[in-house]
Amino acid sequence: MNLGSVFILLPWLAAPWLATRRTGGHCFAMAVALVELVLALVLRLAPGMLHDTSHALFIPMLGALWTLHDGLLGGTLAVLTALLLPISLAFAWRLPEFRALALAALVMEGALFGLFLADNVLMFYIFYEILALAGAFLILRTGHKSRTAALLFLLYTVVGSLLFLVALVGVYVLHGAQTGVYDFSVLILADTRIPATAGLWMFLGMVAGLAVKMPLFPLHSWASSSYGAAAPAGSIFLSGAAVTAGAYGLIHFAMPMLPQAALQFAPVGITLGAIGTLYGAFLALNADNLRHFAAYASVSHMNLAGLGLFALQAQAMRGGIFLLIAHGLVSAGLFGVVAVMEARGLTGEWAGLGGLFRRAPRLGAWMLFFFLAGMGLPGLANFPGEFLSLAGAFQVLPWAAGLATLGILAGVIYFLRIYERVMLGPLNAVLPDALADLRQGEWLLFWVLGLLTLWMGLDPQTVLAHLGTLLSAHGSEALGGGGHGV
Amino acid sequence: MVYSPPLLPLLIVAGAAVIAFLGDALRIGKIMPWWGGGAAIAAAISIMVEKLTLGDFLYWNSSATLLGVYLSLATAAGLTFVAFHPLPRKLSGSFTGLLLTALTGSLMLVGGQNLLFLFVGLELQVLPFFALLAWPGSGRGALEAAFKYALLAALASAQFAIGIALIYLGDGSLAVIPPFSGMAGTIYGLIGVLALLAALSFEIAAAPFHAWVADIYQGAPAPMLIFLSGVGKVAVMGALITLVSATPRLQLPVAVIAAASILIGNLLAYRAGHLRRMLGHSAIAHAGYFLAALAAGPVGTIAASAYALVYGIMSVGTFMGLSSLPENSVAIPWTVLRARQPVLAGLLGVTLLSLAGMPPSIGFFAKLFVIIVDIHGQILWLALLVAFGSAFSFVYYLSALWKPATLSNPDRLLCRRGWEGFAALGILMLALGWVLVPYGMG
Repeated sequence: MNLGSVFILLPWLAAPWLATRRTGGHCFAMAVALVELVLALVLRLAPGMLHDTSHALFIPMLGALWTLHDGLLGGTLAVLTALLLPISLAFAWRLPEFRALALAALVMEGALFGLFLADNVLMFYIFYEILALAGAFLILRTGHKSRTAALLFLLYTVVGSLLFLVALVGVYVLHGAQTGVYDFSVLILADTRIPATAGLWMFLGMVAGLAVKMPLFPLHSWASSSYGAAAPAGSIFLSGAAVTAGAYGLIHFAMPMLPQAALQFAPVGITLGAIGTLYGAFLALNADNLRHFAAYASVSHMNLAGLGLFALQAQAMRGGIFLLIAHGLVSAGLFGVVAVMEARGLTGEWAGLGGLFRRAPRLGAWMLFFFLAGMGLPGLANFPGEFLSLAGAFQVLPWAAGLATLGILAGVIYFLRIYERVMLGPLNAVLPDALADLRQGEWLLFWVLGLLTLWMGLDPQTVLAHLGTLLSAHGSEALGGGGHGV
Repeated sequence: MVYSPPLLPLLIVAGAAVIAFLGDALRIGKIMPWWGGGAAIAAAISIMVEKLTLGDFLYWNSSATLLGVYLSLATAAGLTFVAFHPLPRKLSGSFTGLLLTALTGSLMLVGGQNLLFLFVGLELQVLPFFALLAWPGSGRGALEAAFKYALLAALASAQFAIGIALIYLGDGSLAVIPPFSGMAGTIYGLIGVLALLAALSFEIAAAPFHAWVADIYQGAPAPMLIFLSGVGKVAVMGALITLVSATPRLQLPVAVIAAASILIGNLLAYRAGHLRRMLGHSAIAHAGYFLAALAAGPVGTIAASAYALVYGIMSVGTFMGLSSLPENSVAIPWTVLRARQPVLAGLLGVTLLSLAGMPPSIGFFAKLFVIIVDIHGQILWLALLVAFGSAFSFVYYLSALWKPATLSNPDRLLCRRGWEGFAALGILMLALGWVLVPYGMG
């Protein structure tokens, strides 16, 4: 058994063990999460480790399902995922539903690692569905324990991903008809000659399946109810890590398989991304509580990342991927703030907030930090991603990029307005007299997130340099205008 | 009739059935379920041996072999499972005998290549179920279910007989693959074949012939439903595979019935609100997915056999799990069930997910094959419908999985240590059964 398989299966083996425990399990879950973080770093920094990959689970007509490969993009996103899990668990440490949350998050982590490493598109799909089910379980069992929100989340993702499956089977059948080789491996499927119209429909199907997870406008409406219903500590993982699956699928599978269609779709994708950025910003401005606010802020940022990815332009794609990673950190910070406030009995409704800075200055300071990062302040993580996405998109579709810029401007307004509402102004009378500021552990978590945010903002070159090599591997086919297309 | 080797499995099962009927008189009824299980396993082995042999009326081709082996093994598993249940305690010899008779009919349906042979198989399979559904010791609901089933199944049989008569009128042959012309060659033949299709659709509860299924799933005792849906329906699916692959003109009507079943089944299941009725209505949708594979022509035959097999395994798993609950439960009391029978609860969970088509369970792979053959056969709309139906089915299957239900008196739960082994095997098969596919292809 090689390192990659251990990497994927370890959280899945840990999850049933956790499920049989009636109490505790905190340290166990955290230990598994930290081991996975170390493994993720090893796989990312020493990418040769997977080269002796064996092809396992060979099914006739489907290909070898368990084929792993190591890509830089997958490795980078795996590190982000592995980083967000311990943070999410730490924020959930004192919650009564810790075990349910850890269980769901561990299963999701395994599924995410699986889909980052999978070479077989069908296996990617299988991991993707498991991710959706575990996500729904997370929403169902933590926070508000809302069945409606969980079902909505599941329906959106499952309907979308089945469209992805139908499109994928379309490519697979075409390839089989042309060459007689029926196999779901991406290396084989990327070689298919696809008629332009059919290709566009297939790409639309794939985008429907993958964009719904990001969530891209107009498929975003599950996001507020899901992030709002799950425990904020769970939303850290859900919004930071799980969303990367959709973006990864787009870059690694959909675009290389259907490069011609991706180019045709680019203007539509950019426009949708721009509208989503702006629309998410307006929704955030009118959000009725802090959870929904953080959710819409996340939607707005992810749409900007989607705009960068769909632009199919080297600069914009780098920006999109960078923003994807940065968004994971910033969103973790935002939901971390919400988690800390809810741990102190604050609901997050606006009526119960105001002037909080007087009671909890450390929390207020960190909230300001992540709000500034979310606004795209230069020097913090989001800025290079936003800048590159927009700069690249301007060269492709200027007016849409301009529209998205308005979204960023609106971001400045909504972040500042909400900060004013929560932290500044007169002290709200309903706030309890004794409100503990950040504890030692929470303080440390924010420091970790904050330093990483600062590092990504000040030294984007370290990440971007790797993304350069990564794009030459993934994106060049797409950028080259479709070598395999018609 | 001269003995021919392909008949061996039928002879084994029928002979064992006769002995089982005598078992009650000889006061050895208690061991009869085990005897029946052994006989069914022997039949499965003999089918494996007879693989690809052509008899007078019977052809063990690959789909018939696959389904025949499955049907025998499912009956064996069901019989040994039910041996722990209080229901067949009275008259367990006759119980076994009836089930083996039904198995004989099922094997005839799966392998039959002659219309009269199929008709006899259908009758042999349907008649025992009248008695089984209303087995002494089950409640009034079961009696009602048995009565409804008797009435409607008799109607379907009559239709089947009319179909045979019309086809005979058309080209004077009773073979499913007539030597000179297709069955649907003349107008009589066409009407006759449509009548056969309607009768068989009725038996698998495809829309618009689905009205009976929810009532019977609700009223009949769960152990009997293991056989009714896990054996009976799968056998009829086998007959449909034979019929439709011999008559390519049926593909359009089959596609229409498939689409109607998927739509109606999913909508009804969504609105059911009662566990058993939900399962009954969703069985309509599953019949639709099966027919959707069949509509795709020759390639579809393989996918349809695979779907029938997988559907059978999933049904057996579901009703094995439900056998432990009180008959009138409207939802699954997960907490009690998990405490008393943890593995069986796991089996129920896995089957519900598998029915919904959650990867990587075999339910997913079966649906994937349906989608593949539909796209391959250029029936994109049906592939999309299968995909949407499957996505939509998550809503009601997961509701069954999530709905908090309590059991007023936990002692009403049947607890059997022996069932845990069946459940563990079922979980393995449902979750990882697809790993065996490469070995099964050889």
